[in-house]
Amino acid sequence: MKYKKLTKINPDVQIYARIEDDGKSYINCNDQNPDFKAWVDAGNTPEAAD
Amino acid sequence: MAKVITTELQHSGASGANVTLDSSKNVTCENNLQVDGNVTVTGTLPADKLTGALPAISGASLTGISSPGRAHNLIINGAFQIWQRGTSSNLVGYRTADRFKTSFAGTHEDPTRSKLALTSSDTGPWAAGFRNAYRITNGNQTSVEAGDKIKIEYKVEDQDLACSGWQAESTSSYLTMSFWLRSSVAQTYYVILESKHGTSKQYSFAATISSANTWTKITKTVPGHADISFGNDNGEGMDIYICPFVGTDESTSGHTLNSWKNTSGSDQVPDMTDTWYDTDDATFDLTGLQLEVGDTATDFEMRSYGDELLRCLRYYYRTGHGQSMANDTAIAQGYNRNTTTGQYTHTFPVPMRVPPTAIESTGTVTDYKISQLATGTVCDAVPTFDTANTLQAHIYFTVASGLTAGYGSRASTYNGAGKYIAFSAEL
Repeated sequence: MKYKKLTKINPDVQIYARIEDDGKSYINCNDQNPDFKAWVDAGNTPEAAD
Repeated sequence: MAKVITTELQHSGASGANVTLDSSKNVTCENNLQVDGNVTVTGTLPADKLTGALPAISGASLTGISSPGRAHNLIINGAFQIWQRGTSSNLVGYRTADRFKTSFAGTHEDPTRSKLALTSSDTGPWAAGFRNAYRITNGNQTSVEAGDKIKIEYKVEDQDLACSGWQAESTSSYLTMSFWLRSSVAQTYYVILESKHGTSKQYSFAATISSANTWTKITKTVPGHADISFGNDNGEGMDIYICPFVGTDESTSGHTLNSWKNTSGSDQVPDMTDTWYDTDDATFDLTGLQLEVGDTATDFEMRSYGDELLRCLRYYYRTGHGQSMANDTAIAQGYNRNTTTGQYTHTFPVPMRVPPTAIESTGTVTDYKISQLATGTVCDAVPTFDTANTLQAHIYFTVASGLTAGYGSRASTYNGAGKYIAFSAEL
């Protein structure tokens, strides 16, 4: 599992897609999402947007 | 002193005796008896001597009756009626029954949680009115390591405990937990209560299944403790863990059950037998989980499906609420920001605990569609989160081209029934 930045639609909000091991994304979130924060706190960095 | 010695007393107008007396000192009143003063019984008055049709008696003056507790279950979905996310999963976290998740680690084959439909052969829970249970089916664990564990987890919101009436800081004020438990392996399992506000404390107790594949009612009364408090807020108040297995990383041979102690990661329960964990496809069934204020387990507080669903929606909301929505079900009305993106406001059915921070979808872009005037266009991205408060979320749907900026549009599901979006505000 990893997170990847999505190209901004709202210029004030960065959204991250959670990419599962099968390559699909079932969840996208902001930077206050508890699972995202835990993933970042574990030393991970989201991939850049396309 | 003068005595009247007789065997009967009779009114002049009556056809027989009003009162009869016998040599054993019994007195029989043949019709109504009116007492304008008090009635004192110096001996005992056995319940079986109070026969016949009793009148309604006010309990206002009765004393010495122990508190029956309050008919208020602090657990939401304790009867496992609500399954918005699905009815079977082997993934970690919140995946099946609302408000309940299973955390596990170290497993060689992940355990499956599923909805178990009870039948009349489920002696105990069925007669009590339960129709569903939460089942864990173990995987094939080829070895047992210290870090292995499988725990059912439930989190009680802080303010629900703060306002429950439980005087948590008092050792003479009680919570009572009760539930039905069944396992294919007879052994002792453990339950942990962990207060989360202020100084975190843990209380553990045993839940023993003496007979495999037989439902057992577990009841435990837990006192307060001077260090426990709860805040009147929407944070975590107490975590409840029901443990099919905990490895030695989280257990201690000298662990003390049935008392509060400071929270410890390594001393949560006594060392557990690994019989259940080491048995492929072993089952562990739970239903009727109730946590109530008082020292007595009362009957389970049965709620209607609608009431229970509304309580669950505060923490998680999926369009359709676990029911399969038809193809082309509207999700929201909004407008087109440009030629590829529609912006929509989706209102939640009840205020959520906190503003959601994510949107969930099926993961398939063609499960969603934007309709403008009479033209529908299938999306080329899954619905995207923007912002949210506790009442509504702003979301985007995206197509490759064809929208007219500024036009109104409709976001909907597509590509068959059962598509959805969802938002979480779980503890």
